Amino acid sequence: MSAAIEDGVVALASAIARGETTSEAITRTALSRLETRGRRFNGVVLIEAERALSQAREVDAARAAGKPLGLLAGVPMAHKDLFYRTGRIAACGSKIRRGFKPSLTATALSRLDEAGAVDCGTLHMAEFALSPTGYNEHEGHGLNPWNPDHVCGGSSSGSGIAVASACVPAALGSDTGGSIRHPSAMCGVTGLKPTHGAVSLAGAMPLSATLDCVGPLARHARDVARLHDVLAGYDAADPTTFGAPPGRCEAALTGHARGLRMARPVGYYAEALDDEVAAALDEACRVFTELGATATETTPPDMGRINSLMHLVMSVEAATLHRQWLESQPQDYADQVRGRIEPGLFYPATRYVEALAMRGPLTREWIETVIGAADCAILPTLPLAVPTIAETTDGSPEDVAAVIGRVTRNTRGINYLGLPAVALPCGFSASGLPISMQIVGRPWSEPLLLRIADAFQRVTCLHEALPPDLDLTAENT
Amino acid sequence: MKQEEGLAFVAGDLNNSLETAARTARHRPLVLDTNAVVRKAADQLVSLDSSPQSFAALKSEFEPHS
Repeated sequence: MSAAIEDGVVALASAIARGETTSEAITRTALSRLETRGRRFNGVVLIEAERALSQAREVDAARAAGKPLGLLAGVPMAHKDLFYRTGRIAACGSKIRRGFKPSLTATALSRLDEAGAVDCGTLHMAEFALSPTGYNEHEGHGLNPWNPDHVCGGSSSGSGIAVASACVPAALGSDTGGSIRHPSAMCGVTGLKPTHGAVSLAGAMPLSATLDCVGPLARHARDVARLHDVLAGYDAADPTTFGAPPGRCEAALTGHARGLRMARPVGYYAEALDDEVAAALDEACRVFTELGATATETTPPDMGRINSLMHLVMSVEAATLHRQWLESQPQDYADQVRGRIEPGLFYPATRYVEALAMRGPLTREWIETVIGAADCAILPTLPLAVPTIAETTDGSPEDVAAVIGRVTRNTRGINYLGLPAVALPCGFSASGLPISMQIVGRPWSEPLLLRIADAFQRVTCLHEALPPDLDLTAENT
Repeated sequence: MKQEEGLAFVAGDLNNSLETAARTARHRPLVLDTNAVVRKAADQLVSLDSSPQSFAALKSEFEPHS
């Protein structure tokens, strides 16, 4: 086989287009891996083999007939179980929506379809996208492919699992407080939380429309760039979207970081930081310096205030959507999940509107103080090593809340600010689990952020590491 | 009735669920703390000319052009 799933979206699409392999062959491998290792790590909800193979054969037939192919033609993927496809159950990780069949298809899925991607099925997620660890009381925990005793990150848990274990080269996730970046960080892959409004939310289960973002997870930044180019842009079904010029991200991947200025915020982002995370970030900054970039320390504003605002907006919007179910069937929510929504019932409407009114000024303040004169900011995605499942479920509610609070410490504020952020591997802990950094930029700076991530990956190759016990050699022959 | 119990009652009453109010009384420390933080920030940053569309306005300043 000329290209393997772990080689990524761009490599696979090229190999299929050149006739070096077929979409059907690659898709069969993906389906087999989803069935075996995807299920082993509890990353899979539904596998649609016949549908996927039919799509794959259509692509192969189109290529044989000399027809033009899309940017993702024949590449198998699977996605978080909250992207609606007409007639296919989208349970959203919940008991309440276990049999829900939507009557529309998400714009994000439609755009992948139009680009020729093959949809293999749906992936594990936290209940209603409300856990940063992959916790799901109804479906069981997602397991980390690097060590199944550890959490895999959520709420796009299956997306992280499926990409890290090379079941598929890319998957869609959604991010309201870090739900693309957590599984990317914990599973050792690359994920993009775009600028709010860059990608249509239409047909994706809403949690908090003001904060929700749709974005890709993949092994390589260049794959993330291609997917974002396909996904981004105006959609009449989501009037918050903006019609950015097309094809900006992949075209921006020059491989160079020379002359770029990077801000490394201290203060809040340097506090409560595990030593090995700090060391990995130091090493990443050294790599960027070798690439010709410069790093400057900056000081963030009051992040406690921003985190409070994020919590208020998220819980109010989620409580609005869930109120009737909270009244009629509260027992069908996991206690941990219900507890994240219910506070939204209590806040006065004046606080909510104030939170929206302050979003612009506080985002401007963050950009000015954290990024300043630089092009972007670099900070840890997680301040701690990937926790164990036991650390996030056992013990007193206060202990569990403290660990979960640390998991989201560096991510949730970015959603209130609405800024784009790329999470990518920057090292490994002593126990062999991934460590991740996030590169955060000004609104609409996805091309620059992905250029920086791609330049880093061209010289470090950390993103190419595979979890232990995956016998790819045997499967690729 | 204590202040905290009143908060839970009012929220539950307005949301048509006194059971919710009773159950969610456990959230009152978080709600009261967050409310205080946001109100204090709003005292400094929100005025007659503030808009809930403030973020959309900021984003538009950075929009790329082809």
